[in-house]
Amino acid sequence: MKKALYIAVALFSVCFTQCTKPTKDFTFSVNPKPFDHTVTMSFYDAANPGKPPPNITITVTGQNANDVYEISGVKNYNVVDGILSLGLLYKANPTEGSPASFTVTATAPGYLSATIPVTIKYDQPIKLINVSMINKAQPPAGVNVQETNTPLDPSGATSTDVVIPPPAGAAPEDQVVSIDIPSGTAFKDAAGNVVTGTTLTSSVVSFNSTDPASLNAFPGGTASENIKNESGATVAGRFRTAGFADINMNVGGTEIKTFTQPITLHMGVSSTQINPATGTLFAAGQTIPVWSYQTSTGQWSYEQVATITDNGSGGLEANFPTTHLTYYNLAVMENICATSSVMFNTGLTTSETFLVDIFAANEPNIPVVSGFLVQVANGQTVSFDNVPTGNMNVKVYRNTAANSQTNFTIRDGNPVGTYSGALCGSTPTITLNIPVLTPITFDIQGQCPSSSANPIVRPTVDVWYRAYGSGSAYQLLGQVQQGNFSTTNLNLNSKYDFKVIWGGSKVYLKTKIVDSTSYHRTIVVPQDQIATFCQ
Amino acid sequence: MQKIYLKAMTAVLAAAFCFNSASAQDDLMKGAKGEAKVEKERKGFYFQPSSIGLAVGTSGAGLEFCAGLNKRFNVRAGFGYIPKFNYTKTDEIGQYNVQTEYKTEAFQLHFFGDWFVWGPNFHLTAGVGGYMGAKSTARSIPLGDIYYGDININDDPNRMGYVESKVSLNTIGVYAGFGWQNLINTNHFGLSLDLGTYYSLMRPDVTMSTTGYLVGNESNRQQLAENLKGYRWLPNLQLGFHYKF
Repeated sequence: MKKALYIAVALFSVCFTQCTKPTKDFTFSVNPKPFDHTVTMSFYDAANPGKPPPNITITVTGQNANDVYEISGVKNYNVVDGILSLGLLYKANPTEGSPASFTVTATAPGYLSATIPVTIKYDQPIKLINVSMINKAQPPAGVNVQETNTPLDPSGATSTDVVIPPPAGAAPEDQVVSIDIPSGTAFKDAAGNVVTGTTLTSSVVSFNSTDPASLNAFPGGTASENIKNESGATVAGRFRTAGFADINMNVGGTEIKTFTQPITLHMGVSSTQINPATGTLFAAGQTIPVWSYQTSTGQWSYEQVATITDNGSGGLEANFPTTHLTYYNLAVMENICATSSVMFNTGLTTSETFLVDIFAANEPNIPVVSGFLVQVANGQTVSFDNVPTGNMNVKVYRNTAANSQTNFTIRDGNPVGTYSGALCGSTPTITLNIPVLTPITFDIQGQCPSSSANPIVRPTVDVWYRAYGSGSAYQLLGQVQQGNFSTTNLNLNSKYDFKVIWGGSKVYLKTKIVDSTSYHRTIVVPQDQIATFCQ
Repeated sequence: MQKIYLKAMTAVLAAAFCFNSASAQDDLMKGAKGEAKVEKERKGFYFQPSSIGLAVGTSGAGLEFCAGLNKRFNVRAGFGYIPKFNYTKTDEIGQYNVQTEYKTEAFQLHFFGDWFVWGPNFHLTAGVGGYMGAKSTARSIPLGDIYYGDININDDPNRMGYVESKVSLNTIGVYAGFGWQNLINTNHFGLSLDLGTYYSLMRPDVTMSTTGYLVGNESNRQQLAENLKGYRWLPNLQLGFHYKF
């Protein structure tokens, strides 16, 4: 009987050890999403939006610079095909009333540098910033570049009265700049030392105030939290510009910052633009404040008031003397509020992206905020940046290929939602009147070798698109999050070019007809992409 | 788990050896004193409650009631409950060390019939059992530093998330086994041992959910269900401490 007991226990033990390990043949993947807030920057040539400037160098500075990563998690800020996607590490997430901020500076050979202050509020998960860069050799409409060489006397001063003229090829309606330099004017460097040389080299870039391409190049954006007003106090505000110019001079390669006596700037003013101060068209006899901008500090400073006069050619200009060089801006500065938000009733079951234009009540043609991209779910509230106080007109458009993210004049018709009234101090609701649309849903994952760190990859990445054959600049469609994405901004049975940037270095282009409302794809990662995707 | 099981088996063997010897000695002593008892053997089938006791084993702890049908056959009814218990295990899955915390509980009812083949002790057993609310929840997280580019993304468990597997069993199973009714046998107390297995008539139900950065791993659900196919065989090792009426 004992023998039977021992045999029974042995058999029992054998049986028990033959069960399959529950985790046999499991795969384990980690698909991170370390950024709750992302900022996508699209750099483009202002004259040719479909073509990004080459060899862009990026510097990130400011309060939260240490928390900013390229979206693949690295600190290398590579602009790939004009696109830079940045993520704010979750540990630096903004809270209500305490936004995150940093400054991006972009330089490219042959282009004016661009300085972009970025502020991320707690309810802004996605931000799109289109950065227009001016190619000095091929500026866009509304921007004029004049480069001249002026001979100097042996002391390094002008020997006669000098006029630096506007470009001969400027269009009649362009708001150009000319400069009067009196005889005997010498030139000083940043330290205040007179610079001697035989030639004064000048570069004058003038910007219209009514063209989208020109306005997109406003240094640092038309809103700033670093404006020194006429009282010397530093305030936040938004400029309603009547024209601006970037003036640089050097003598023998040394940058000139000041002069031994005042020079006179003549800046063109549009006679078809509404003066924000009066509500009427600009006219001779009116005045307009003049502001200067230091690229190195990002600070605007009040200079003086300039009087608008006839320019002798049937147009208008503002004239004023100055003793230093910088950006100059003719503008009315309006107060802005720290918080302004809108609740969106989309009526949709999933989040969707829209474009928002905001106009001041007395300016129906030029928005103070244009092409602001929001990604909202039904009933969600989104904050806007730097909205002026006072009444506004808000227009909401679908983020389709027919509505430009960079040119507020390209709109496919009536907005799907509007609001008129104050945005500061209130949170109005905009109910969108969207046609019945079929969402296109995506569930995408990449399959890697089982020995990879991540056998299954569910990416978080921006998707860009344009209508096939349009040749236009790619626009941000939205963000795939851990492999999932849904949009109503694609038309069924239409063909599009799609672009995805991955790993800060790779561009993936695909032309595809949208022939289904639901895409569930497991894509076997090609051998040559395993190192990028799977590790 | 297997080490614990083998140690338990060793203890049971030792107990069985000792107590069985003592029981045989008892019988010898009775014989030596000539205190033979003569019982009148009943004919046919009857229902004679014989004992109630505490049953402890791999099917949990509970009570068991026993009644004799005749000299050769018993019937038993009982239940067992495995209270919720936790244990943690670390496995290597792919390139990750994955720690899993298991929480398991189960409740079962059983109805057995015993056939005493050769004598009053060893029996073969057949019956049915029902598992109600048997479930095991396993929550898995990766361990160690995990980098996304330059960012260590495994420093916040709330963001990393987890993979949660739930295996539940609500089923009837058939039972077959054998045992010894009287490893220890006194006038009023007995120690019994049962060995056998249930066979679940239904496969366990498997669900899997994920959170945080571990979204996508629920694709392992099908593999888990496949791996648990063999777990329809539910071994039973049970010791019973009975009070005889």
